[in-house]
Amino acid sequence: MDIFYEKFSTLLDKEDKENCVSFIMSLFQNASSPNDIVNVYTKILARALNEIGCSIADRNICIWKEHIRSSIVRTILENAYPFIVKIRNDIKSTNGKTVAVICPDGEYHEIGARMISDFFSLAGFESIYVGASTPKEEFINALNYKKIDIFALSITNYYNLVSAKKTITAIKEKAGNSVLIAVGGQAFNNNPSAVSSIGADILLHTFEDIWNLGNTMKEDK
Amino acid sequence: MDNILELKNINKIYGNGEFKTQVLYDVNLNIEKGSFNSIIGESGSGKSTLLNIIGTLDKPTSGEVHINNIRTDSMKRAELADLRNQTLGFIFQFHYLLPEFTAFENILIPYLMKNSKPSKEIVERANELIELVGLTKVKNNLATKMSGGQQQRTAIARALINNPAIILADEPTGNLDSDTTEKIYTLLRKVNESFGTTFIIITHDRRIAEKADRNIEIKDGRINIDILR
Repeated sequence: MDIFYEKFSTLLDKEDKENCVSFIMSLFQNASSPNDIVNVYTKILARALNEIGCSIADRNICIWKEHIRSSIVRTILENAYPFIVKIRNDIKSTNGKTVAVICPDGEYHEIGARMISDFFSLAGFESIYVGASTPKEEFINALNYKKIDIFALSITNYYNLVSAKKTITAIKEKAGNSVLIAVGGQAFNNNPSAVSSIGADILLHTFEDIWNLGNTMKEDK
Repeated sequence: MDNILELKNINKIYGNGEFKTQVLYDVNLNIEKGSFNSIIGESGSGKSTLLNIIGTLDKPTSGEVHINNIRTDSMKRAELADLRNQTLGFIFQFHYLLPEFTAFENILIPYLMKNSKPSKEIVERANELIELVGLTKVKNNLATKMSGGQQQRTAIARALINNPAIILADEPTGNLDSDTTEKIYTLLRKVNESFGTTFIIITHDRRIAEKADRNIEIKDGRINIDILR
């Protein structure tokens, strides 16, 4: 996978959107299992975003460049959906559970959440990607119109653990323990104990964690 | 890292008899030397009371406050005044500059409270601080002849004149626009990194709080969440 990463990273550094997209699409076309997609997400796309550097010459346009690169990855993720659906249908692993993937109020880093939403799909869930910075009232109201088994909160900025706690408290007041609250994201790197202190039920780090959760819920069905 | 501040089982009750109001409940908190901390919470949550207790401006009803391993909650008034003057710097939402004095003179006031005449060294330090906070051009302006941002930067330099180990700030950017808020934050960080000064900042401003090393949310008089960047 390193050789693919190097190629993609070079294209991304040049901000060559057309070739970035077509290169990753060619990898998706050759994917035959959930792990093939997951590897592209984690070992190429996420890695490229996490390792984005900013040279001294570009120091005044670092945010500009970061946003362009994020935008290219976002386009790739939008175009990945048909491949996600195809692989999920091929392995016929739907478990009948619905997950809503959401960033709490104030959290605008959504690429991780979008990737996680696809991981849930690949693991057999009906996955609904809701979006960035979702007010807590919307979570509660959603419970009135849609049966949701899991709320998955993606939190990047550690400060948003505060709003995540408010959101989780509100969900639990409305739904009790009938909804599982899963959390993940970089905010937990330095705050592992925040999983319990904000009231979440489970921390999900990897696709394997989500896959295992899917299996557990399938057994409980 | 060593703790510069330790709070042990802090309770604060105002009033007595049937009019008692408890505003802090069993607060335990350690703050590391040289760290940059933010205290957040809704109005009335108890965060200003907590900051006043840390700053020895108020005493807990029960519990212990240790600053630099010295217990302060049982100190006498004169001892506390000395401790505050030497160890703690305060920045408030309103600058409380003395209008009859220039920016430079205002910065020297904490020193002049203990000394009759400024030494050569302290004048040098005041000038260094003036430069640090970017007020060289207006240092001889009266406090009333400066912008809000300049007044707040003067207040920051004043808080630093005695080289305090801890700066306590209560909504330091509460009266400022977003650009000036960013400049003040950058300045506070520069002080933190240059002098190793510990910062404890109460703020409602997300732009300040999310950049702190640690956020402590106070809710209903208790620590609701305590998280690291």
